[in-house]
Amino acid sequence: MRVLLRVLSPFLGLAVAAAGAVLVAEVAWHWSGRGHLVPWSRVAGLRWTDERVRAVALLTVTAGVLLLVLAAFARRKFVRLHSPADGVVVVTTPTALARVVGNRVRAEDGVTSASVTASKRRVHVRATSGLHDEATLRPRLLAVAREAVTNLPLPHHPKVSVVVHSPKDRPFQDRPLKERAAEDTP
Amino acid sequence: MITRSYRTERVCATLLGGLALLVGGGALALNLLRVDRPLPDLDLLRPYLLWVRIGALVLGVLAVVVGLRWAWRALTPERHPDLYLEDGLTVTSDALAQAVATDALQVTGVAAARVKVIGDPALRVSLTLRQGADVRRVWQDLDGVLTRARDALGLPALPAAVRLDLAARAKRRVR
Repeated sequence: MRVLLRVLSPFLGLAVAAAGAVLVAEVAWHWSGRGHLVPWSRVAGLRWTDERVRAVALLTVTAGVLLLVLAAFARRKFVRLHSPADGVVVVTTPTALARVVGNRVRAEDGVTSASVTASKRRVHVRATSGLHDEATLRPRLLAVAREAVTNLPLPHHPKVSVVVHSPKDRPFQDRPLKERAAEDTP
Repeated sequence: MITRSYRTERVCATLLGGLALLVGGGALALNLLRVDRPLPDLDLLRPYLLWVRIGALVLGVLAVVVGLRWAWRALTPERHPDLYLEDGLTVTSDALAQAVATDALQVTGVAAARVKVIGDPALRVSLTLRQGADVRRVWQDLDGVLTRARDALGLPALPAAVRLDLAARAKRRVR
């Protein structure tokens, strides 16, 4: 999106400037009593109910919506940190935030793998573990992830949520036979 | 953020998009409501001809100025201005950027630092932190780096935009 906006910008800018120049020239020309520069006679017979008006209007609306979407999505998403001094703005990226939390979570005991998604408002951790079930591991990971976030100089701390996937949490009859046999014989 | 911001482009695109949406939507509404009037509605405009002309002129001049600025900004590379101190001393933008980057690299935990001088004078700093670096410490020391640069140049203020890349994996080269 950003590249598209960057590429389109000179053309759009020049088009806007050219349209403005034509408008100024037309008004000046007409005001000084020399007739029209723009061939208005070609639209003289048209009425608002004409189908061509509808087609052009639809095209204009579509172009407008596309431009608004382009402008809305061409932004980088940064996470603001506290400013250490006046006139200094410090930011980091959501990816970096996710990396910090992910490294801390993966270092925990019993975590096989973890994936983290982060934004300004929330950090979501999905961890898998073959060793512990969700009930034992989740509070620990939640505390660790919260601590990692709190250690950053963030103005408002994002919400942290943790999900643990573990084969231990599967119902007994769904587990592989080998595991079931191991648990059956005391 | 070591690249320039997209604010001008986004604001201009939003303005143009909003205008297109309004004009197109208006025309569509007139069409769908079956308003049976001629497209160039001269009878409606004639009583206010002076105001219509002035309005059109203002709009036209505005469009020329905004459009040219938009295109100009998109086409020209970003300026990295040198700094002119009193008594005829010139600090080139590269020298200033290098000095600040070298100073920033001394901060514990900083693996890489890139600095650009933008505006007169303002800095855009991008710091890559090592895994396990104490972000709060780096964040505090950063103020020291910027203050030293400001004091060395004798400037009243040195605005800076800083981007921290946290916990970057160390680049390993396979030999």
